[in-house]
Parts: sequence; structure tokens; C-alpha cells
Amino acid sequence: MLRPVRGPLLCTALAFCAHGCGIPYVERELVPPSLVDERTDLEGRFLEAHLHDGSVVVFSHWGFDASGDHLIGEGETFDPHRRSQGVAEVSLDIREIALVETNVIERSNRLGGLAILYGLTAAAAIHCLTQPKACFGSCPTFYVEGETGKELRAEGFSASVAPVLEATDRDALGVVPVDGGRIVVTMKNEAFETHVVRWADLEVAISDDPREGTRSIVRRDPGTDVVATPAGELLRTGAATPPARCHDGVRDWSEEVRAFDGWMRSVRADSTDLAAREELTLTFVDPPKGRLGLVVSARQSLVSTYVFYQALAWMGRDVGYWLARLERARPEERAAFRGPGEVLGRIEVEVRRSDGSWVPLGECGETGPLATDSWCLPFPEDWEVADREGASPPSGRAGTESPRMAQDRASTDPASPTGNVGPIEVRLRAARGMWRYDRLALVALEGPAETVRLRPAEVWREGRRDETAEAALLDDAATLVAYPGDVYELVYSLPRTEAGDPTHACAMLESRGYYLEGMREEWLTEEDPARLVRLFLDPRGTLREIAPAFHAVEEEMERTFWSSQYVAP
Amino acid sequence: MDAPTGWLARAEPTMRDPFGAWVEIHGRGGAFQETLLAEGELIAVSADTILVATTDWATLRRWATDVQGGRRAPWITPEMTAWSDTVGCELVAVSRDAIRWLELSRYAGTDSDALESSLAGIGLFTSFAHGWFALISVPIWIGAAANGPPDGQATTALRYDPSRPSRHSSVFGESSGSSRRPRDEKWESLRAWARFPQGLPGAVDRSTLRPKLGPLVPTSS
Repeated sequence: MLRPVRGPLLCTALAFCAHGCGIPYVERELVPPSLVDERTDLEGRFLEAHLHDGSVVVFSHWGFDASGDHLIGEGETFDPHRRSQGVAEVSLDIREIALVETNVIERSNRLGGLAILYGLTAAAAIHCLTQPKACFGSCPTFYVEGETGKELRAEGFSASVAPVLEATDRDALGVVPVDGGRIVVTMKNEAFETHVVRWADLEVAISDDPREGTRSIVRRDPGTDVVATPAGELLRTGAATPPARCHDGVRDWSEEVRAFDGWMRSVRADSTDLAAREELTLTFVDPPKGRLGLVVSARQSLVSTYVFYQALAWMGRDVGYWLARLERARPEERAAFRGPGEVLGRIEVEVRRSDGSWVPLGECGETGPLATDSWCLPFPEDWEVADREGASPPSGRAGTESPRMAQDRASTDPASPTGNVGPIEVRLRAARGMWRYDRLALVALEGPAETVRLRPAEVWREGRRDETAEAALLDDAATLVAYPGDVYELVYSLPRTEAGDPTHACAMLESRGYYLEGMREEWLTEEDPARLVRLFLDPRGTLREIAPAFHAVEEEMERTFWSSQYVAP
Repeated sequence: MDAPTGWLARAEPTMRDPFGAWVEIHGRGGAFQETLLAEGELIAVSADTILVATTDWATLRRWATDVQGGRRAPWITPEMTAWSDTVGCELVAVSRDAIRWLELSRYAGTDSDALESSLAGIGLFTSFAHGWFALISVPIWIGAAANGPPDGQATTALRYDPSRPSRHSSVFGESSGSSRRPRDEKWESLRAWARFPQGLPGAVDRSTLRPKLGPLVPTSS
């Protein structure tokens, strides 16, 4: 019925919005008198000089004399009771002035802003949601000297965003250089955060040499490594075998995941549900000998970072309240806080038995988009002879051999003298686009790795030894607090061995602490406690809700994220 | 309550106004009650106390409405000044810890504010007939209505609520490990709107202070 009037109503609305543009408001600032002369931006502002005796001079125009010690101009003086003392040329010694008040009229686009806000929702959403949340953020980053300079090898306790979430984190540093019996690890705070580090210790693998009867540091030996299981057990692994096929139903990624080289399998997140799962099936045709394990080297994409920053944005000005509430929360409430992370999940790994069933090997993964970490998921101890035959036995043999016959054949097979016969299929399930896979490989497990734990022998900062920081990292009851831009060199001394000083070592980093994320001004505009609560109570629904927004900005996010690093590595 | 009609200057004259802004302070009166602790001109703000000049505002409100006919710009007449000299004012000190919330009315809104409020109400009403287009027009009108001033004495207000963290308080500030009260920039921003932003001068005799009766300068902008 009212269809004919829609056009005029729209015009009225737009005209009204245009009329509302430019509502004046007063921008007032207090400035110490000694700084007024330096502040060129104050020129043209109304200025009131508040004197120590309580009177005030309201200048209609003002300036400084040649010496810069006197504020001069025409002004009206009011006594402390604000009775006018008349208008006159005034010269005030700045020592008489307690404070200077400046005023300027600004124009707010109250309704015009609303019109723009609602009218350009899409564009504004992209801008507001993309750029601020792409800001670089992380817990402490750890670097070691590599072939191309300092290489980022680890990030500590990324999920510990509040004191109550303080946690211990173990990260594989891989092979690190040893110089004069010392290992140097650089710890940085490269984000707008406060890092509270309780300790940062190294675990260096050592080995017994039965031939020499000596113990030595495990040296760099291509093809061997020390990798932690998701439970934290350190294992020595032998040569790695990459998958012949790595397929996600769309294409093969075997080249990308062949080696730990930074060339990763990377796909975008689901555009309708950030928690939507995907499967990656690995096929190993030439498995190594011995007990097997799957090594996964991966880091997170920016999905979890985006969700975390979105939560902070919804907390807005109340971020302190929410973090305090988290501190005193009951366990079930604290579990709700972890809800979004749990729905996004980690990497679930399964291996296929010869009967076609899938056996879980466990889950791996760690919060944080910066450093690639590695985990080893051992095959089950009851991995049977029939399983060693592979998930898809060669045609003609399936069902015709007894397990004993298979064992006999496997043990005598020149291609796999210890009984693992390909192909072996492994399946990875995780949220689509959540993980960047760098290396996926089958390894032969050589047994538990013996390690020696090292605490920092020295801590250096800005070229000087920092004994306070040393003491903090050595005392488990104390913490080292690092602020944005802080860089610490942690020096570890290796124990002397009869085999002499090695040039390299396999090391793990164990760090403990938490960090506090700084709020960005841009985020405050998104304060929305209702959506924040929904994120915790219905994480799955919220991850679906924000998926399109993330999808729209995803490609640009990583570039923006790294370019906004507080201090370049 | 709001400042007496005409007490506040508009935005532009406020830049030359030597008085403090209008402040209304509420405290806890019981478990679920709150009580008005003080209302009047903001005199000074220190780290833990706020000073307010109060007087018989009810009389001044009646004066502004009855004698001045509710006009927005009551000039300070000799009668008002004489009344003020008789009544005087009381300087009330309110502890920061006693404050539940306060609202600072810095200056009066403009005539166009009131017009916009009226139009926003009409616009909101009519936009329900827009069909699917209402998905766009209703939010605009709601926004306009919500942002518009409530009446002709509308002000640009600043609310301080100690139970809520300051806009500028950050996780950094709270984690500094200092035992001092965290720096609260919103509290400190109140100082700029006090008669004495530098704090109450020692030379000022509190007993002789006179309250602000209205803008000293023409309010037409």
C-alpha cells in the first residue's frame, strides 16, 4: 500500500542524515604551560590560562614573546569566583600559569556517520574486521642461528592468554648450532603484548655410544632427529619417508609436505563454517623398517588468531573484566572459555589396518601461527604383522596368507627386511584451512631419547648481561616480564663430555608462562558482550557466523599480519 | 537531575566559559539502591576526591522555567545575582571510592539536536511501512533516535562508572605489578571540565565561592 512513498521516504532519510552531519563538539585538552610553545598544533585554538591563584585568563588571541617565557595576547581575566576583571592586553609569565586549557570545535558526523555506517556495511566490515585483527600477535618467539641467519624455531605457550592459563610448552628447536659448548637462543617480544616467562629451559638429546663407552651430545646427523610425542615423550627417530601420495579429495600435496622446508600445504578455511572438517589421506608405499611413527610438522593458520582477536574485540573496554572473570572462574566456566579452541580442534591422526578399519594414533597441534612445530605419533604397539602388510595388500595375496606366512614373507622381503610393507594409509582430520602442513613423514622409532635439561647460564639484553633476568628465569617462583620490543639472548652451557664439544645438537625448548594481549583502539568499536557470551556458549554456531567475514579477508590477513610485526626478526 | 534550563552554554561558547561543567554524582545507598551524592558545578578533581559546588538548584530551576519562561538562554539578571549572594553555595567533597557513577554534562545541545530527535521518531515510525526496505531504514532511524538528544536541554555528556574499566585502561596497565591505583584516564579526563583543572588553589576561600548561575557569554551560536 505504501509502495509509492518508499522513494520519498528514502530521500527524506538521506536528506535527514545529511542535515545531521557536522554537529559541533568541543575538543578540550590540558597542556603544561612549558609545552604550549612547542605545540604548533595548538595554534588557532581558544586558550584559557589557569593561574596558580585560581584566576583564569580567557584569550581571544594569543602568542609568545620573543623569549618564549611570556604568554601574551588579548584576554578577559576572571577571578577565582569567576567575576570578570575586564578585557585587556595580557602578558603572563609562564611560571604564573598552572595549566593551559585549549579548546577547539570539531564536527561530528553523528547521523551522517550512521548513514555511511549502515549504507556501506560491507566495505566497513571488511576494513574494520580485516586490518585490526591482522595485527601481529604471539607469545614469546624463540630464534636460533640457522643457515640463513636467525630462524624462528618456536613460540612459547601461545594459548596462555591470562595468568590462570599459565602453561608449560615444549617446542622442537630441531638441530641447533653449538659454539664453544654453548647454545644461544634469542627470545623476543614482537607484539603488542606483555610476556610473563617463568622459565625457558632447553632439553638437549644425549646418547650413549656403546662402542666408545662414552656419552655424547646427539650431533647433527641427516635423517635422524628427536621428536616429541603429543604427550611430551621424546623419541629418537630414524630416516623419514615422505608419502607417495597426499590427497585431500581435490589434489595431491605430496610435494608440499615432502620435507621440512617451509613449503607448506596451505588451503583456505571453509567459507561457511570455520570448524568444518577436512580429510587428508597419506599413502606410504615404502615404509621404513622397525616400529613406525608419523611425524607431523605444522603450524596453525590465522583462523585461531582471528577468533581470539574477535573475542577481544567483543570484550572491548571490558576486557579487564572478562579476564578477571576468567581468573576467578569455576572449572566448568573455564572450560567454556576454551570452547572455541576445542571446536576448532587439533589434528586427528588415524592409520588404516589391513582389515580396512581406522585406528586412532592420537591428536597433535599447538596454538600459534608463527613457528612450525613437530610431533611424532607412534603406531600402536599391537601393530600386527597383518597390519605391517599394508592397508591394501598386493592383489592376489589378500586373504590367502596366514599371519605367520605374512610375517615370514615380510621378514624376508628385500624391500622391507623388517616387516613393514606398503602401502600404508594414514588419515589426518582437522578443521579445513586451520593448519599449514610442512612435513608429513613416516619414521622408524629408535626408542626414547635421553636428554639433559639446561637452564640459562647467562641472559643478555642490549649487549649487556642482565642478571636480574637470569635470576628470574632460574627461580621458578619468579617471572621475567618482557615488554614489546624486548630481546633477550639466552645462553646455555652444554655439559662437558668425553667426546668433546659438538658443533650441533638436537634440542627441545620448554617454556612456561603466560601473556597479556594489548587492546587495539580499533577493536573497541566492536564491543558486544552478547556475541562474546554466545561465542563461549555456542562456539560452533559463532564459528559458522563469523566464517564469511574471515573468508572475505583471509588471503590478505597473513601478509598484513607479518608486516605488522612489532620488531622485524 | 539535569542542569537548570539555560545553565549550560552551547558548544562554541563553552570554549570561553571559565566555569566548570554540570556534574551529577550517584553513590551506593544500600544493597540495591543508589543515592544522589551531589549535583552542581564541577570545581576540581584530585586523584581520590571530586569537589562540587552545590546550591539551591530547585529554586534556580523554577527561576529558569517560571521567570525566564523556559528560554534556553536566561541572562544573569541582578535579581539572580542577589539571590546567589544570599544563598551562597556549598562545596561538597565526594570520595572517589563512594561514587557508583557520575555524569558530566559539558555543554548544551543545539536546536538541530531537538529537531533531529523529533524527525528520528517520525522516521522510525514511518519506516515500518517500508517493506523489505525497512531492513535498511529502521536501523538508520533507530540510530538517529538513539543518538539524538532527549530534549531541548540536551547535553553532550560524559559518563564515568568505576565498575567499568576505562576506555583507555589496558591490559598493560593492569599487569604493571604496581600497587598504586591504576591510572584511569577517564577519571583524569574529568579534570579538563572543572573550574580549577589544576586542583583547588590553596589561596581560594571555599566559603566565599559563588555558584555558576548560567553562561556568562551569549549562548546563541
